[in-house]
Amino acid sequence: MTTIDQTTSRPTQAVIRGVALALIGVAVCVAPLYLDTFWLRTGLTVASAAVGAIGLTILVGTTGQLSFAHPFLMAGAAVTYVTLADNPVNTAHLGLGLPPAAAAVLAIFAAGALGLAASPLASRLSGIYLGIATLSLVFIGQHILENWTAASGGFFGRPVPPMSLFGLSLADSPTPPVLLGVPLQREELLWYLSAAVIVVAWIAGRNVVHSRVGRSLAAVRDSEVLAATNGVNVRSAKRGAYIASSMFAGAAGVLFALTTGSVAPETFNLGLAISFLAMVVVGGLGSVAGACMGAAFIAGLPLLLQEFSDQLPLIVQTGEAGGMQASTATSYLAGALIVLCMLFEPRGLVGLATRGRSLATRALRRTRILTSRATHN
Amino acid sequence: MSHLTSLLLNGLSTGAVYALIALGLVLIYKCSQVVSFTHGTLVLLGAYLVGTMDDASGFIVALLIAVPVAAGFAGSINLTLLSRRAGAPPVSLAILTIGIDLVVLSVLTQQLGSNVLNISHPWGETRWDLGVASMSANRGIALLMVAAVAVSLYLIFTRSPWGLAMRAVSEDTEAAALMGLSRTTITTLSWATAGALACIAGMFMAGPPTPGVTTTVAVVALRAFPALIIGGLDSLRGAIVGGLLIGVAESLAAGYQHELQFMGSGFAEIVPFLLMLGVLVARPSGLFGSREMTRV
Amino acid sequence: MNAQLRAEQVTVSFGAVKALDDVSISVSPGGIHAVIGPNGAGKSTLFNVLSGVYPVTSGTVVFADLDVTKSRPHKLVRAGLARTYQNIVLGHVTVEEAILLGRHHLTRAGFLRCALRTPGARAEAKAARQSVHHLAEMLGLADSLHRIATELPYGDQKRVELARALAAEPEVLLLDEPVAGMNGHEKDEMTELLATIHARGDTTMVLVEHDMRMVLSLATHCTVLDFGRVIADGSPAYVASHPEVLRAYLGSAHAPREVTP
Ligand SMILES: Nc1ncnc2c1ncn2[C@@H]1O[C@H](COP(=O)(O)OP(=O)(O)OP(=O)(O)O)[C@@H](O)[C@H]1O
Ligand SMILES: [Mg+2]
Repeated sequence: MTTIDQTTSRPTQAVIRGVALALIGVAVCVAPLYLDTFWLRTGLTVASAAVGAIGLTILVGTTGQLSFAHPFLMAGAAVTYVTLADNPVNTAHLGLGLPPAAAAVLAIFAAGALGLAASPLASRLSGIYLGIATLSLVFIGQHILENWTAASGGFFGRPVPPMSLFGLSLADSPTPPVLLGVPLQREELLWYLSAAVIVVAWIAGRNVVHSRVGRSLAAVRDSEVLAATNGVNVRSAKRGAYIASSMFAGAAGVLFALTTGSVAPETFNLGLAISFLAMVVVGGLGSVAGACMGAAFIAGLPLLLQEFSDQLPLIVQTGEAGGMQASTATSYLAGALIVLCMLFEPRGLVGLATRGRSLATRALRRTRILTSRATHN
Repeated sequence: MSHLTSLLLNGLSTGAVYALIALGLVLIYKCSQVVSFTHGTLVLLGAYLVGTMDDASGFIVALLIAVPVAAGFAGSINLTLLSRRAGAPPVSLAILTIGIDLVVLSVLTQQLGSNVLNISHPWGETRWDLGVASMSANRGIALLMVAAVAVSLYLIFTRSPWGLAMRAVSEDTEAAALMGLSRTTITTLSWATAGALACIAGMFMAGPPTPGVTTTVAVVALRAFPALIIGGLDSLRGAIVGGLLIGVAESLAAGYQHELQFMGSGFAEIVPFLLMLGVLVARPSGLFGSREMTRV
Repeated sequence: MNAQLRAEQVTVSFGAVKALDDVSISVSPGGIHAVIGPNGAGKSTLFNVLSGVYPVTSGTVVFADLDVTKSRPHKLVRAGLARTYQNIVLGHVTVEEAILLGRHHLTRAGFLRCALRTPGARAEAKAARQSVHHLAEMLGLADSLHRIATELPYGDQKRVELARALAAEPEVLLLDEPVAGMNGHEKDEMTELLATIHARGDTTMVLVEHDMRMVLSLATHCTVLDFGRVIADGSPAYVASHPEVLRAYLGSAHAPREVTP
């Protein structure tokens, strides 16, 4: 969980990290001013996936509980948000007309409540049994959404009312706010919202993983007996991990709804559950940074392949013959990467990065030694 | 009355197919503590193999080739991938099988496209008239097949040397080593057996009354998981009981869908999963599964 | 006054095997109670019963007014019970994190406070860390705190387990073969360490050990198990000369002996 790099001193590391964070921060802030809509949309999709993946990596990676429930929880939150925020006068569906910000917060809690409702399973079953049990949540969730059309909009879904914060509606408008001469429309505004949510999710996720609670979850993963005989209430630890992970899924669901602008039951299928697993495995189980990297890769790739299909060999547009569709290609890659990670690098992309870094520092040290020898001679 | 009888009969015959799949899952789990999420796709693979070959070579030859090929494929998955990580946490191994599944399923999706591949079973669309009710010959034969498989697995496990070794492995590795069989050999054999069962199940599943081979087969095969869990992960008897139970429940829900209208359309498809949740809440290790030794 | 740990007429069956057969044991507070016996005698099973991990087939177990057979293990920890394992269980964590786990029941912060890193949670974590460093110092693990626990030499891993159990500040400490697999020198060190810990605090210790030398030098009381039954119970010297004990050990072709895992 923690690796100590003895080759660089701690203050230097802190400085490097600070500078890197500042650079990333600036890049994130100015990016929407220069990127076109396609890249912004890709970024938004990745962001919502990353928030969900952080939650899942705490459950699967840190606590060792397999779960397919993420689409179910995301759908729950998305539908709750839409239903609470939609204006009852204008919509053909159920709507309560709450302020969108309040609806979003309530939606996240709704996902947590769904997690709590499932917790008799989560707390009593371990690892693999839980995984198979949650398989059923995906199917049951889809069934409910398909049939409860007043809330979900049925097969075609329903439009998502825009988020609105401090009187600013995050939607396209004829008189948009302007930043450095660039008008901030829906995608730009959502970009900043997503960035803020990711930062919160990241910090909360990391804090949990590296805390007393995170240690107890890791103990549950390593051995339930070990955890219990060290004073950990195993059932409530698993329940807690499940609820926390559900709330991350809820936030992801709300972001997802806002980004796509419409929720359709079909989206929240088993394939999505498997994509999330792929994200956390490819990124590196139990690592918050890894979850984000995995999300970028698994959620971003199909969009990129799709967009650039005419320039790429093998890949074709949806509906075309004679090649592979972007989604199939992504499945191939995701599957192959999962296999490779589980066989060779269980710490995933994060593990590769660590290896790369230690190789680099070793090389650096070697050149330093060589140069100092050279100067001595 | 005859409506109910025919629902029960059809349920049992569908359940028989689930039971075949679940039996394979139990075999794998008993020997290697792996829950194989690749299995739905292996079922599809089996159906696909039979479906592509039977036009040229006839059904029987196609089946005689497809079963060993599927068995070999499943065995080689274990030999080349899973056995390298023997003893890893069950969750990691399950995730590994998800990865394998994605790759194999992508290949099959790519091959199948949006076509429906038909298997020309020699029994075709024949229906058996059993007086009180009738059922498709395809499913009737599946039911007989499960009975045969159950009996032979029982004999293998209690009589044959490798069956005994398999039991030894699932209980104690050292004992099996003493019998001169490596753990890898045993687990690979169990995967191969499961692959063969999946192939047979796929062949039945892609026949009447359902349409031919499409990727849906892999999704429907997932209903073997409720069967597996209801019976208990490590119980062969449980897999059969669980499979039949699921099949009957699903068939009843479909047969009485008008009465169950308030549960929404397509309710029958989620009945297996609801049943599984119910059983899990009441008995976390299923009907026949062995209980956890420790309490925490 | 320390918490009392007592088992009465405990039987534990695994299918046809009776791992414990009508076993009664009473651990007197403040002492060092050794449990010895040949391989498969049921010593570890007894520990698993005492720490609430195994259910009993019949019998009663009481720890500090708690009915052990009805309490889940974490409750017993809160009441002052800690243990180590015969087969080391550490998990993929650093030594510091492994030992910190022992302080779980002495700290409080839950999900929300940990996610927000509230001042209270931080102060608590800092205090826990300090006491862990202190323990590590005492057990000679200070230099390994940031290494992955399972990558340490065997003897050090055993000490990490001991440190984790001690971090819980138990009143009763169950030690399942604390020196198994160690060389003579390491054994002496560990024996001395246990004696020091015992002398310093008033921790009651229950100890499974094959090494008779260690038992004789440390224990104040000794219970001998064979085939799941108590065959002798009394002072170490009395037990060591008990004819049934000698027969049990000779019968299983081992005199009281040293054991490698
Ligand atoms: N979980 C279990 N399931 C089945 N049998 C068990 C289990 N735990 C212990 N046993 C059996 O109970 C008996 C006692 O085992 P136990 O581990 O308690 O012995 P022990 O005295 O600790 O031996 P050792 O000196 O080898 O550690 C053995 O026959 C063992 O096989
Ligand atoms: Mg023992």
